[in-house]
Amino acid sequence: MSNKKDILNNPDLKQNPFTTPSGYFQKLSSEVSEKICKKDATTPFMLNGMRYRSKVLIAASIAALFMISYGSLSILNESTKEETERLIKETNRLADEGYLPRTFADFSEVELDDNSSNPSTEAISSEQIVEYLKANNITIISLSNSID
Amino acid sequence: MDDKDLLILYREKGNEEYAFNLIVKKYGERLYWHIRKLVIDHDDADDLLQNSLIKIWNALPDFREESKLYTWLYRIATNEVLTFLKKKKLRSFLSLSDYSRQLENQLEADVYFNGDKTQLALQKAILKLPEKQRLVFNMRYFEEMKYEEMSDILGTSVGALKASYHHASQKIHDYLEEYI
Repeated sequence: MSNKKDILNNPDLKQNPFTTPSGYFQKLSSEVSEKICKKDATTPFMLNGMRYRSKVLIAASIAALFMISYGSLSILNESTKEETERLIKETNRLADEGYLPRTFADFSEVELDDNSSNPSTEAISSEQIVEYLKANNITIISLSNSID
Repeated sequence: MDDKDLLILYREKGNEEYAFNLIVKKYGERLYWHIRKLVIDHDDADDLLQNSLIKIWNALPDFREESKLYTWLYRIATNEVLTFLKKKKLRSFLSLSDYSRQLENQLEADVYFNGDKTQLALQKAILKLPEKQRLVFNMRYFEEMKYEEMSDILGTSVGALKASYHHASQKIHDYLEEYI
């Protein structure tokens, strides 16, 4: 055992048996610097040794979120706007064609019609009209004068 | 310049690269030998060292000095080597013994190996060890690193490291006795 221990305690064995190409360590730092400079030049996230990668990623994510939200809102707004314009055009058309009331009077008429018992729909006989005219002393002449 | 001053210099605006070069000059060679003894081949060691240094440069802004600069650098280099060895073994479908034999052959043919017969036998014996034991043995025997520092680098308890070194030494003794 002591003999075994002597083998490893031999100081010659602790000598480094490996070598390197000449001047290797002298060139090492310049080679590494060169690689780092190349890497920095191709990596936009590195600046003066400070890492901006995470910050840029966060900023990019926020920007992307904003763009997506803005884009979808714009599309929605656009469709709402189009829909409103279409409705206005349609309403105008219906109003022009007389399907819709346009003035205050029109609205009043509609309301009156709604609230009345709708007498226009009741059939009135010619005898009833003559009777009504006679009872109220309305002649053909006075009737034509009131229309004028 | 001690590590604290180097880090202060690094944190001064405009001095990052200069301070990093000083770190490379101070620790580059030690890291190289640490890597080289594990991978044997100079070109592999050079690639791994440069990759480690680039990783160190990228991670340096986030270094919070929770460990010593020196142990942190070793940790990055060691992880780089262990990942490399794992990948190499997986890629070549080699078992541990086959892989150590391949490294032994590489060692014998290596133009950058100047060791005598005993040193060659010692290196071959080391190559037969499992990776973790190899790492522990090299750090303790050649680099004379303290167990506490090794523990910080490897994330293993001091007790486990002592046991690992003991087993490794025993195996190397046995091999050297047989082959010398």
